[in-house]
Amino acid sequence: MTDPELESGTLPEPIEPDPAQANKQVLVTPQGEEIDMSILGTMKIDPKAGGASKNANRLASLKYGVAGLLYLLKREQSIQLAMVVTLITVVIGLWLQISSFYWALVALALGAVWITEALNTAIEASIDLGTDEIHPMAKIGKDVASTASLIAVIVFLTVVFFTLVPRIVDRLNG
Amino acid sequence: MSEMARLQVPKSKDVIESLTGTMKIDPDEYSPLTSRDRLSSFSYAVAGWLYMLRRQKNTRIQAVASIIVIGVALWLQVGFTELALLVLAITLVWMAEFLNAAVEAAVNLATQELHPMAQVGKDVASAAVLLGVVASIIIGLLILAPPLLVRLGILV
Repeated sequence: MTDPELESGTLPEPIEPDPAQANKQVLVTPQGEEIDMSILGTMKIDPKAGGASKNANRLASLKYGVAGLLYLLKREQSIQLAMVVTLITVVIGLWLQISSFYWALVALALGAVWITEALNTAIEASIDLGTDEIHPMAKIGKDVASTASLIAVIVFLTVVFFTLVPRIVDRLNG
Repeated sequence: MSEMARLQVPKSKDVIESLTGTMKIDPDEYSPLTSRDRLSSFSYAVAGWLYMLRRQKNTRIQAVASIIVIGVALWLQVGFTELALLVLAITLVWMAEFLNAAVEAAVNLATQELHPMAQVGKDVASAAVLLGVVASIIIGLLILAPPLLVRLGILV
């Protein structure tokens, strides 16, 4: 079943970490820029120096957020599924008349599912942008991002099991 | 190489093999720098936090909002479980915000050009923050609104 061309080894070569850079507090990029590795080093970096485009204002960042949400709803099957699950959960919650505390718990669990799903899609897009080739690190990035989604789903099911399931059983038993 | 080949054929009979394929990859082989010890990974996290507070205006607003929400919750003397839920909701937004910034940095690193997938990556990452904010507002209202209305004398 396996592609013979891939079988013959198209994997990128591992790179050798430079031992001279290993324990230094200041690293030097190939372009000659210095990177301060200390705790106070990262905040010295100005993100505006490295971005292709940047947010004009707060309202614009809200607009990007909505645009991303629309993309997810249209293109991501897992988000469409999350939408259906959210609606079903809300209907069940209304039917059982759960307390506002339980509503808050369910909202938190559902929020975690939606967020990890969105970030999973975002990381997938940035990896596809980063390389067209098959690369072990691309696999790690995508797999681990979807693990985050899986964990959020397990947490959601756990929350549902402890908040909704006992009440559904009670209700069905009269 | 055979692990990567299986990545290409998800319908392969060797499902178990492809499941264990990812963990056979050693990330150190492809990283220009390998993490040195536990303490330095902690210091990277602190460095990232300081970066966010200094460079991202949204994060500073978020810090102020978080302190106000916790302050109001303490003033209303909500229970420990309610407080725990609020802390979780606040943490959710912080995590989404930080991961959004990380994705943005990764996108900017990958290309300086305008690219549809760059737009997808950035917009979807900020949608995650929006979702976190929406969830947190719902949770905040559910927990804080009833005691707040009572305290303000609007609800008996």
